[in-house]
Amino acid sequence: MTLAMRLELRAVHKSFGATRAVNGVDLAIGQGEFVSLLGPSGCGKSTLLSIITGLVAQDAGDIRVDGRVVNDVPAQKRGLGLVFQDYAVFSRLTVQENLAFGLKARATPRAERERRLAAMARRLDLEPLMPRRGASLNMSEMQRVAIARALVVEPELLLLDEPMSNLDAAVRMALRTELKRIQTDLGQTILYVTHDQAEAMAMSDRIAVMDAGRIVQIGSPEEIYRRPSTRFVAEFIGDPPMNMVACEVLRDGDSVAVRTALHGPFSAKASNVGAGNATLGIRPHDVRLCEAGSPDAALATVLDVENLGSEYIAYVGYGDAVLAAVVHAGAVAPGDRVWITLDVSMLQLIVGDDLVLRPFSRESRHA
Amino acid sequence: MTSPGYLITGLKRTAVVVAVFISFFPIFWLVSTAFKPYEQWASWPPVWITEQPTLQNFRIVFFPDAAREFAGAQSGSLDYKVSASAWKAFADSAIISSLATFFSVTFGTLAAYSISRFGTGGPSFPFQFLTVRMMPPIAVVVPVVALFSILRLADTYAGMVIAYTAFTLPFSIWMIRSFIDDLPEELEGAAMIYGASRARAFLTVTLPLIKGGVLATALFIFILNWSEFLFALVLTSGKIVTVTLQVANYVSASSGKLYGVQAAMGTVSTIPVILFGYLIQGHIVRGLTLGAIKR
Amino acid sequence: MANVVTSKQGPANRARSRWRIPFNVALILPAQLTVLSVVIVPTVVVIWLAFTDWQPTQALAWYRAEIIGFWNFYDLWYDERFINAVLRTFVVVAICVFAELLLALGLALLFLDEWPWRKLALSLIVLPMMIIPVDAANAFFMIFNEHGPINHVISLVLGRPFEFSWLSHPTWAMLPIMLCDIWQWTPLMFLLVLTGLMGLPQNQMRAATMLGASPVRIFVSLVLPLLTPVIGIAVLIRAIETFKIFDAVYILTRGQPGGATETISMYMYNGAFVYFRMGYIAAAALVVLILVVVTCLALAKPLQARG
Repeated sequence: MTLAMRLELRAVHKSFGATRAVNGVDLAIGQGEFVSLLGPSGCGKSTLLSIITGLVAQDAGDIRVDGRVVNDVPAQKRGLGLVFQDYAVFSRLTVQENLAFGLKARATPRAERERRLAAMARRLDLEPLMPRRGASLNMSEMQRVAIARALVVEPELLLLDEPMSNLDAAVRMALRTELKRIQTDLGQTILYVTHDQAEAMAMSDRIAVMDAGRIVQIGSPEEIYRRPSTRFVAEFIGDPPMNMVACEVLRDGDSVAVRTALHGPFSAKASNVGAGNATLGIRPHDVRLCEAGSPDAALATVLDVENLGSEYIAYVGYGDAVLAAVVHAGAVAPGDRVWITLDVSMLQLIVGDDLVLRPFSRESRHA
Repeated sequence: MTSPGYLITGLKRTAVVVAVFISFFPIFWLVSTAFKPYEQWASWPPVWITEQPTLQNFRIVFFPDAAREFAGAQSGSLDYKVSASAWKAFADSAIISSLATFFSVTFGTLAAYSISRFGTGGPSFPFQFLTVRMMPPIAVVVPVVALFSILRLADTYAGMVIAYTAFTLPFSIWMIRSFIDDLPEELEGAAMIYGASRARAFLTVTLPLIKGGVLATALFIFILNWSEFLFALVLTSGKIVTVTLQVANYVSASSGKLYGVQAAMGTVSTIPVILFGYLIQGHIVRGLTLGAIKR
Repeated sequence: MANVVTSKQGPANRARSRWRIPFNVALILPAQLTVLSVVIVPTVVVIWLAFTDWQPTQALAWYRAEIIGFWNFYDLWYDERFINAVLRTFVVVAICVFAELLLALGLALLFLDEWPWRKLALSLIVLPMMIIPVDAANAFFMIFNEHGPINHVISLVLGRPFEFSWLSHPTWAMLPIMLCDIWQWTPLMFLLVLTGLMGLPQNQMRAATMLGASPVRIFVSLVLPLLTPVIGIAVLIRAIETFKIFDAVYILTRGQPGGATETISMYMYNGAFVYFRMGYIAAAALVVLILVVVTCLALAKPLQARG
């Protein structure tokens, strides 16, 4: 008998007029997990969040918290915590009153309340801020207050709605670490909504990628990155984004051969892929410079080089295709002729919108 | 949002209906009484809506012949104040209110511009303004009466216009100032770079942009002037009659038993105010709260 | 305006402009003069008059009136009618403003959401504000008549004829006056409170809900503190205006019966224009002004503190 999941969503639907904001979502989050809900703007993740919290009612589907159905339970009684994108710190109350608010609402006895307040304030470094009024805090202080305020009532599940988007990069890194630390210390279950995939990758135990009202893939960051199950996930995850090259699929018994402008063809064992046009994907990190004469090396021209600080992106032209490759500083300059090689095991075959295949093996060097 | 129970919604709707009814009722009663024939003015039990509506009351208000006829029909005569036609009251009110509004808005705009762009009067302007409002007009009116009688301004149009202008200036300055404050100074600066003087910049750039606000202020001031009672009561002695005075006259004449006529006068006199009031609904809040709250 | 020069003129013109009025002062001059002559100068005269015993009936010009020093103030201190008028007015202000505030809060909560006919109901609710105060008093005069609808309804409820003469009763005559004021000005308070409520930060409300707070708790601990600035201004303004209440008193009772409904303004009107004791009334005016200023400062202090 498995432990009840902290949160379970089954077949949740929500439409606004003709638009399907949430189009059949299933999700389960276990105790202590840090799950990110990742997707671009407009994918429905904020709506889904509102439905989970109870601030918006779903059209269909079930929501269970700790095993009990909460469809008809009002938001204040669901045992969930929420940190808003704009933090929504109570501007006219002091930080102390902000933190105490939820505890007072639950009629927590005074001694217990003070104990929890003190512990949380210490944990998030809020002690010097206690007498300050909400309106007088800066962004990152507000964020810490918002998180502390939600955590101090010990919710079953803490939901965060893009909490880092109002902060600058340095503060973001610091808060990322802090949040993760708190989560592991307290064993808090977290659902983190964001459009920033680097954030999701860095913090999550699992990522649920969302697009157009549906969750298209759930998995660990590793899985999502290495084995995207749809074109969308392949394109969305990874920075810089995956290179997409057109190709042609030819059947050969129960194998397929893929012919592209890149040197190949490549072959793979697959019985469910039909012949026709498709796309080949390879991440810029998997396109490497090599020595002339290395096995499987191909000649390409450097078209442009982008300096991202930590790494450089070289755009190399190979035949008709342009590939982005991650290179070291100063390795190449526009106009150079270089040898590149691809990591075949990282090639993804994308057929239509959602069939992705790998691994491949090299059949022969030249088409 | 979870949906509220039907009971609560029902209670809410009932409360609103009650509130609307209470808001409307006195006005309804006023209008209804205006159309009641003499016998039903104070009958018991009272008639809520008359089945014999008549325009007689309005005729008495506006036509002295009808008034005299009425006085003759009832024993005794009508107080002279109310046997005169109310046309004069409307005319007097119209003249005084319009002129006073004009001056108030004109002077007010100039002063507002000065205060807004040059800070004339210092940073304590809001406080000064509030203090001026705190003074009960009745107190100020005493020496004004003395002053006016010396200057032969008592019971004259000129006197009334001056008094009303002064009384509404704080409002017009305040309201127009907030409109000018809303415009960035760079606008006039841009005109002045091209060689326009301050005055010209003001006339060609600022003024057109605050036209709407000035108009709303003008209507607001007009309403204030039209509704004013105390100054009219004290500063006139019969030659000038405003509509508010005339209403008061009807109430006091014949020991206040001229209900139908009172109501007729009241109904007609308040129409302009209601009209203008609805036109500038949004700005009323701004004006009445001294600009503290903008809708 | 033709001969007014702006300060931005070049040095050659500065010599000329030295003799002209600065532009900004010129602009404000007409307004200042008017207010000066009708408000400021008379106020100064009031201060003078307060120390005299000017009674126009004695055919003495006001500046020749007999100076009697502080005697007016002494008399005021022992003048029961004056003290009563002042106390009465304070009570009226307190009751009316408080009632208006409560009703305004209640109404504003009702109008917060969208519902069918809301717009129409809104325009009807603000109707009382748009009536000439004298007409409102007129209407209330007729409504509270012995044979008026109020008595009619009470009769139906009681089951027997109720022909009470509200406006002739020493204790009850104040009620129609207060009701008239409340009726007329609640819509203003309502609009202010509604604007305040609609400007409330929605997410703070939602955050409070997520923390488990009931609607009542949210209202008391969150909404009210957020509304304090708006409520403060509304109360201050209404208090200042209600102190001066006159039109309704004049139309409904003239301060009768026997001075039972005499408010400050009515008292001063009677004193100045019925009994013609203007010096005395000037002193009363000063006293009242000080009282009002002190009260309003007291009300406004907590406002300033909260910003």
